[in-house]
Amino acid sequence: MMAKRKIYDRQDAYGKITGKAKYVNDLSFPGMLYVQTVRIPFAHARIINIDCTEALKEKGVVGVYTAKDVPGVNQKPKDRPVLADQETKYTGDGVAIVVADSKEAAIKSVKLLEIEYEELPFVMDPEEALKNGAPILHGDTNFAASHKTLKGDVAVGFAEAEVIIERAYSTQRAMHAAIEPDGAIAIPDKDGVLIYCPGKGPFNIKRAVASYCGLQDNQVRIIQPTQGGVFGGKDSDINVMAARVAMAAMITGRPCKMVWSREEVMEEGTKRHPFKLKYKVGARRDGHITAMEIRGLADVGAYITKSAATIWRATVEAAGPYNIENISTIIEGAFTNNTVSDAVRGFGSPQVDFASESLMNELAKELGIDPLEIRRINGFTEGSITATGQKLECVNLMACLDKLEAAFPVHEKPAPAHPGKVRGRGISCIFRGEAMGAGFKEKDAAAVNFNVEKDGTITVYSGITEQGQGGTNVVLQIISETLGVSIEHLKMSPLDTAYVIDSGATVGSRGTITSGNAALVAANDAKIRIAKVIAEQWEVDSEEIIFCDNSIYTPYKTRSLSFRDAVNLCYTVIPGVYGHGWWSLPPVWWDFENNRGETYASFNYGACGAEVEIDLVSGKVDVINVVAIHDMGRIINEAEAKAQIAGGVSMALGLALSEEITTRNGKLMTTNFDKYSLQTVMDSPNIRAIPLEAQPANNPLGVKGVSESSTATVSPAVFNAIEAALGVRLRKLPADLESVLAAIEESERLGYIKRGGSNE
Amino acid sequence: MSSVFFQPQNLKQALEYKRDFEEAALLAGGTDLIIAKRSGKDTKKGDLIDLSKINELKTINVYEDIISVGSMATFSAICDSEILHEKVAFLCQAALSVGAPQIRNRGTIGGNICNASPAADGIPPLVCLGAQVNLQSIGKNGEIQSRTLPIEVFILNKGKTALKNNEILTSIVLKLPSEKTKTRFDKIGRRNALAISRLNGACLIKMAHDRVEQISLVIGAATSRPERFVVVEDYLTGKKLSDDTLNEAGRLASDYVLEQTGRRASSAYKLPVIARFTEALIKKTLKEEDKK
Repeated sequence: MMAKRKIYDRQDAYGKITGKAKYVNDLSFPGMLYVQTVRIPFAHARIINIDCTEALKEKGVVGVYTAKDVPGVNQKPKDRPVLADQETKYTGDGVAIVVADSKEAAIKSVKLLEIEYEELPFVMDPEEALKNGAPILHGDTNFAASHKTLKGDVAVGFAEAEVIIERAYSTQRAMHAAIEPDGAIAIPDKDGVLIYCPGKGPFNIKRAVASYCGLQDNQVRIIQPTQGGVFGGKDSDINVMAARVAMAAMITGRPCKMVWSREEVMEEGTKRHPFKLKYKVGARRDGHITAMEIRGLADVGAYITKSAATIWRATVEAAGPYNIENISTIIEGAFTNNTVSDAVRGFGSPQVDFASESLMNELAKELGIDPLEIRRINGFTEGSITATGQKLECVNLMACLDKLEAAFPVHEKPAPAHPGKVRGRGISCIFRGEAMGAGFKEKDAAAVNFNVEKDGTITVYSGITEQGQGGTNVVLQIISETLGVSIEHLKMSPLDTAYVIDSGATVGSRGTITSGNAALVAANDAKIRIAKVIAEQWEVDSEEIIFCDNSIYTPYKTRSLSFRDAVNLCYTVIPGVYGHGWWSLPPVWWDFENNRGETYASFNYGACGAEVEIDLVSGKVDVINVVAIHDMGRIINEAEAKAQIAGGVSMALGLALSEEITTRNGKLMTTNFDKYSLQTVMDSPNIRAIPLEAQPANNPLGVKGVSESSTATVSPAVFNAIEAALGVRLRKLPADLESVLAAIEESERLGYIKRGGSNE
Repeated sequence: MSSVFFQPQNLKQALEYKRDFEEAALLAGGTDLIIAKRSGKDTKKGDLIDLSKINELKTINVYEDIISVGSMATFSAICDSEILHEKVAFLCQAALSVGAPQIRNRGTIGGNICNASPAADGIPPLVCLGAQVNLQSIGKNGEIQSRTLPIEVFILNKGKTALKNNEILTSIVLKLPSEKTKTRFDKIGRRNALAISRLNGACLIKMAHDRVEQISLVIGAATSRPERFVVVEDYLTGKKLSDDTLNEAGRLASDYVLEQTGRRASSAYKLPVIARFTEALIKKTLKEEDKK
């Protein structure tokens, strides 16, 4: 058991606080060129001709390159090209790159490019996209992907129901909004290319660049600088961008850099999938749900990227954490001429959780049952069977709900509102699959290696990226605690794909589960190796040897050595002192024919309470308090866990209240952060983040991931709170001024609240 | 195409540059101008005259019952001014509602006025107070010319002012409101900081024997420029402020905006909210403390 209450400083914090940390945009190399992307300001267009005569005359311009110059496979079917070849499918699509000796010259010469194109009909709504006669993006249909689950017989379940309600919900297009915009620098090498870029999956970027640029995987090397925020992004955007700078570097023979402006991040960067979801639920008067039918449609945007996997996760989790005998779920995805939908922190969960947790309150209201009670009546317990037929273990939902009841005044009236305002409280709860799950084919595993240096310090190599979540510190902490070596003596090496073992991408909240357990295996590997040498010297049993306080000793300290001296002794006996550890998640499977399977090795659970105050003049919603409870199995670092939950809550509040990417006539309206309203610190509620230890998970550390779950519970809790305050239900994210005002007007018509008064 | 950047050290120098480079834009903080340039909306030749070094344009002075605010006074300076707090608190409330600390440290009241956005937060209190703007220019002979316009006359329309190409707005002059006057500024934004006003408003009221003796009301981001809602003021003057009266005042404000702008996409939200907001703004004004 780890000494988890100890506070550990973040090793990456000092560089970030003092400004010494180097981000990609801080890097510069001799002879470096600048690469700028050229786009067509139209949602769907056929490229007729690109004339670069004038651009090439501009001082400082080295070259202009198009799809024809891409050295490898420019585009896999339906996926993103490095540069659009025949036609562009959204306004963000790049059609050419201009390479110049300064950023200014590159930007200037973009305007000198004469692009002849034909505007094509476009479609921005996924329902329209699936209708006959809609403009087609790929092949002969805009249908992109679909997943199903089927459990029991919903017809039978609805026949048993005493109450049936049908509701429709929708979620918006939103974005990661990392403060650091995407960027990459490529440096040509004699037989390949070296790329500096941020990204949550450096090995995926390596393979993508190799494929795009016609190189072998081992000819592309990625070094990751400090990252300025990821939030599920810096993924396919970086793949495309790294390929653009790599091709420029290969053609010109010089280092090439590209960093997007914020406008380019908005225009070309991937976004969260908007979902339209229709739920039909049947229940008995006593609150037991007998059947649930779910039909969903996700807006995939212009290219497929990881939409099939996102839709798969959404489908698996769509019915919520409830025991329901009869479930039928179908969620489809359709191509549109919108920005590409791809991974964003939550990966399909926040959308279905918003819908299913709003639905639970609507059902509770219909039945006259308390919202917490209906969740207890139907919620998962040990051994429950999910919509996919999976029997659950380590189920901590009830522990989350109990904690919610203790930490959040669910049953009490809200505190009095300020004049002209009303208050309400709402709750939600979720389950969420751990790590990659069966929607991906690769074995879900990670490795951690380290060298014990001759001075007793330790140099660590991990393939899990530090994106601000504190993932590297978790690895260091586990090695430190297992070997009894102060964490100050440990150092995480930069992530360089030339030396670090591929541990998959740092996604799916899998960082701590995979690399944490791998760190434990690696630390025990080193411990056994060192103990064996020392035990032989001391003529004791190696299992008796204790590693603690930078020392190694026998029980009662009859024999002892400093860790450093012990390591030095080892170097005289064995070839090297190191730790090596792999760990992989228990197997999962999915039967794509029959839509059943063991979807995830484990699930985590969460519950949330939110209190809102609504201004009856403007419709402005202020979230006053949020209590976010998340089942973590076992906590490795409590301060980090709380910070990560609070960060997820903060991101989710933007989803609930203010963030939305909008277009008009195929053109992006939210071109920068003045129109795309992130929540600021002035909007932040009191957030009480509660990492919960109930039953441990089925892995050596007993840990569960928390990153994404904390983005999934907030919006339904906020919407349930709005409903409690106004007596009127909103079913469309976000709760912006306009929709809340309409709800206030409706509430006044219904007599639930008095004009300018209160709901008391 | 080359452009010039001037950084005059005093007003005279600035006026001379403006006389000789009439097309040059005045950089008065840059929180709007630089953004317009970056987005490509400002397509003019890039000549700039930066007014940030001219200390004489940053002063806030009181002469008897007149306050003069230099056009280059930042929103932060206005927020921090004790005399403005004491005498015209709603101007400080308005300044504090602008953007975020970084923007308030750079953005100036003169820049806010000359940018003439219908949603400007700095303008409604000034219109309420009947503020005048001083406009100066310099002739070939070196003689400084000045003229003064009421701010409501100065701002012609969205983004348009009466500023001539050779002029600089140098100060804003206000007559202090009389004793026992209450003032209030409020705004509706999509978030609590860094929000462009969806609506804003300034109100000045003097009550006598429970009746409105004097009222001045400006609702911003509602019409093409901040203006006094005379129809509401006239309706309320001499009345007791009952709930029904205030409700009617709100309705009049909303009707006035509909009449001015016609029905727009934003009307479904704005028209009912203007009614609610006007009513609430007047109520909140009455709860403010009397000015000394």
